[in-house]
Amino acid sequence: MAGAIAFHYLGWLRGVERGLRAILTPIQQKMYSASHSVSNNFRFLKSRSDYLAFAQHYDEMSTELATTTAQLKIAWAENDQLRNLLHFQTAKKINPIVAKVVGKELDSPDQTVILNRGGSDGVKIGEPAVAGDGVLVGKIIKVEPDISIMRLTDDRASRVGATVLNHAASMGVVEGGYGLSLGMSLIPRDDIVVVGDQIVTSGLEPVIPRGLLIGAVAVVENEPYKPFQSAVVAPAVDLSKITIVGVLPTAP
Amino acid sequence: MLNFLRFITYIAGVLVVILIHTTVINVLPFPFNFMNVIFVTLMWLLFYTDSGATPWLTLIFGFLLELFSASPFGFEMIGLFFSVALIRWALNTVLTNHSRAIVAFAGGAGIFCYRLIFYSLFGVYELFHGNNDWFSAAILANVGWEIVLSAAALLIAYVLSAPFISRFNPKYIRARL
Repeated sequence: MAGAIAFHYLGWLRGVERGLRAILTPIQQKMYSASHSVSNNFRFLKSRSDYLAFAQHYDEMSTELATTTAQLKIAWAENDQLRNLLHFQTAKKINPIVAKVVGKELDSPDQTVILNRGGSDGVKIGEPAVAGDGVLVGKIIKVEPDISIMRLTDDRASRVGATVLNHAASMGVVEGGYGLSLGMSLIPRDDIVVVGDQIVTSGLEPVIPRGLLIGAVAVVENEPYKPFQSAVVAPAVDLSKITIVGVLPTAP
Repeated sequence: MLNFLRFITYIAGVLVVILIHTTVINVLPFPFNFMNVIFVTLMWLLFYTDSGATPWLTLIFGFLLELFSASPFGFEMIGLFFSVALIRWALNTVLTNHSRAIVAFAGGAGIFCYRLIFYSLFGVYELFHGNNDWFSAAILANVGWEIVLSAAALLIAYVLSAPFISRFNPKYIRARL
């Protein structure tokens, strides 16, 4: 075991590691894609009336047509994400490294996902990742030659400097660990923050540009005995459904 | 030839377990995606084979887990190896009757030892990197789910496989005879 660990840090196992990742990554990708189909079908069948309506509708469709339709929807969704990423690239004049989400980390309960682009593609630790039309979804925390691992913004260890798009341009910190939502803390108590205000990155962090959309205020918590107010933030995209991201490269 | 076939069986078995583990993590909803299929398999092998080779299998599984992990290289291998070795020692010296309660307890205790070793190493690593707020209550909750679900899965696997495996616990059977 000590030898394996030492060989890894000496770089002698790089070829073996890349070969094993090349075998296991496609399997991960298939399982991750399958998870979206499963959760979509589960939500659709949740209520009895929906189930009955779906059962009646499904009777009228052939199995082959249903399979083709599902494949087309996945392709359309990916096409929409790529088109939005292209729009972001053109508008902001930034050339993101487009990466596909191939799965979740195998031995961690954290909200981290594996991307199919790594150091050999120019990805570096700390670089932000966006989805759609420039929505911040995470940050790169580990880079290997062929893959990288991204921490999503709803992970408990995620912290991003943010600004509320209100009259006072209130600044705070958006952090994860609140289930499906995000939390924004350290907002000055006297600033007026209302439900619906959009939250963007503040640009105070060296590698995260200013103006990337994070989400919108869902609930404001302002206690009179606390020096700061906080807010619950609804992410702008469903972080459990992203399949394509753009990693924003930092200046060399 | 026999050794070669045994080697191929081991490799195929490892890949199947990794496939199932990947499926559980990516497809199953919360909290079932916390089930540690790899650890359940290793524990089941401990009960079935009582072989000294099982702790060494942890190195192969640990290495494959390290390929897709954000934690520093080696932590999973060390945690898996020492926790499985510890449980094997306990099963041979302390928890010898291998009843269903002991099976469930061993599964839960094994996961507890694994995570204790892993997060101890992780804590030391974060300490030297100046990050003191890595620990949160969410980690305890996640480990709790992992212990409960993995112990339950091991118990179910044990109960379902016992009728089909004649030599499940040679010491126990000899004692009864």
